[in-house]
Amino acid sequence: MKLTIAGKGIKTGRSTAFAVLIGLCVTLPPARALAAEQVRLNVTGKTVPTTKILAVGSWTPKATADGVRPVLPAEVRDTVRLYLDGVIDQWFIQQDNSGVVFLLNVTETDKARALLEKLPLGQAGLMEFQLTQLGPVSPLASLIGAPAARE
Amino acid sequence: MKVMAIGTLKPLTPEQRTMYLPKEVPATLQIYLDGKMEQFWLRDKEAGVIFLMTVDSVEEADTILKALPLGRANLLTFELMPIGPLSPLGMLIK
Repeated sequence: MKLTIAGKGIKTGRSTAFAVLIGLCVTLPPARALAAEQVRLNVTGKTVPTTKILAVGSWTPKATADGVRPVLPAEVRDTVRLYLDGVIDQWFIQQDNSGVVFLLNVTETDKARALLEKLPLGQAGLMEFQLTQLGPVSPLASLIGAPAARE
Repeated sequence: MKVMAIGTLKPLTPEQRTMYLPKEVPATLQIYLDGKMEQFWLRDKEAGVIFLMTVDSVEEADTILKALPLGRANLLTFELMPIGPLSPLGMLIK
């Protein structure tokens, strides 16, 4: 079931809630969780610097087109302000209208969460973000026999 | 802050390539691994490189790049441009 905002389809609360549930289940199934625990991508064991945060924004279960529509104008402006403040490095929507993806010039998850929760959709409890700290592809260090990061 | 570093490379002799590149390439990768270089490109016809740096200051970018083997040999020189968000977009939300 889809509703339309500004000519674009937006999923309604129920189907999105289901999608989010499915998403949570497939985000880290047991095998991948095991790999995350047992496979060290950082072959050197040195600290890899956090350089960005990937923020994936999804509709909350209570998000409906009628609920979202009046909030969008303020959301757009505040999102632009985050870009102008240098917080948002790159910004995308998900083509299935399930939300947005921001690459943030922020290294601390708490700071990123605080900034994103202040956005109107966040304040209204209509969008929530999953945050992932990112860093340089440290396994490349094996090509140069060097530590992945300076001690 | 972000600094766009436009590097211009003097044409290298075969001897210079042998002498410098085996050290230049790992040293460049190390800058990336240290989280100081976000993106890197080669300019067409090996005119030089373009690095997008994430640093605390232009001076830090300058120090890092001058410490590269080709930088120390004055074969690769950089023009450093501090860059930021496209602020005129702010006109649209006034």
